[in-house]
Amino acid sequence: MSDRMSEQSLQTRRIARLLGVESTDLDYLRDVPEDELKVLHDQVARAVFAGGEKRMAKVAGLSRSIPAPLAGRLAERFLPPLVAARVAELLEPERARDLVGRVSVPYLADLAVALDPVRSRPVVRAIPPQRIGEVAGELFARGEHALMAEFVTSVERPALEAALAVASPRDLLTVLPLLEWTDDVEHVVEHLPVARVREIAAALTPSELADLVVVLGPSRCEPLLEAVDDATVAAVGAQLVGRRDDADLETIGSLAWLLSDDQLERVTALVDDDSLVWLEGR
Amino acid sequence: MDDAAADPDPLTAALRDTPPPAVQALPPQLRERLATQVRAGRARQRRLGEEAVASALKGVPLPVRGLVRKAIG
Repeated sequence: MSDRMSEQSLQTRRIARLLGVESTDLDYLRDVPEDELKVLHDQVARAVFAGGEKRMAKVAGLSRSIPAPLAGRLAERFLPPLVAARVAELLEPERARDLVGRVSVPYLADLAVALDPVRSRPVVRAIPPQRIGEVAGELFARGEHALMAEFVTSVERPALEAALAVASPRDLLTVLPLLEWTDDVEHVVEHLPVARVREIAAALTPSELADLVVVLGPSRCEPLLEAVDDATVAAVGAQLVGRRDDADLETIGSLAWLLSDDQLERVTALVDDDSLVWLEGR
Repeated sequence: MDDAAADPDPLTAALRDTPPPAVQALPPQLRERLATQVRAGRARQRRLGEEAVASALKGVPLPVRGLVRKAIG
């Protein structure tokens, strides 16, 4: 597996982000099961963002008494994103929905960085998918892939589609390994339009495609392999075999069943004899 | 209130919740370490929040700044 894809637990990285520490500072959590780390993540989120609710509730109250167009302008002018984030978490979703259309996308992106992903869920879910897509585009441009991944469980399917639709192929390659693989993610990835799959396949190098194949797994990567020519499929296969990483080799072992005889022949021509054992059985 | 003083288990106190079993089963020094990281994370968020509120108040026109300060406590 390449450097791009860390071996560290997804949930550990999420917790580290909340705590403002390096994920290696949480190495001692490595034996904790992923589902328990997920519970811990939400507990940490509540603990870290606790406090100050009374004051923020008053600000939220003030914002309710001001007409939305004016409230939006005043918020962007006077409320730093961190305060706006705390206030937004306390707004009724409908009010939040109204306000997010009245502030700029860069301001919303700043605000998203400061949001508590757990507490903000109802508000984030109320935001129209088109606006989510606009903010996602800004966050991808800023390299906030970990943050994007954080909000995957906060949004519903149309918003997820809107967010992933604005990701460049390399954004996708960076963000997909960070995602919690929910039913919605599964659905959106499975239903990517053919043109989009072709765009992704054409933009990535064989090494990057190999990374993507590992992330998607053999059961989901067939459309991607269908979108490239035999020589590229062979180069991707050779990349996976050449890395001699257990996860990659397991993938190529399963992947071998998806390849045509011609493609398989091309892969075997590109790898050394020791690696051929991984293609046995075909 | 000092979290550690409020509860004999510092991690439970810092999280204000019972940690998942495998976390609870960590050696005491590691639970303490996580509790310290959580407290530091909360302090960091509070500090950022205070700075942001102060900065927000600076942006409010002077004649109404007192009113706004009073309103938000």
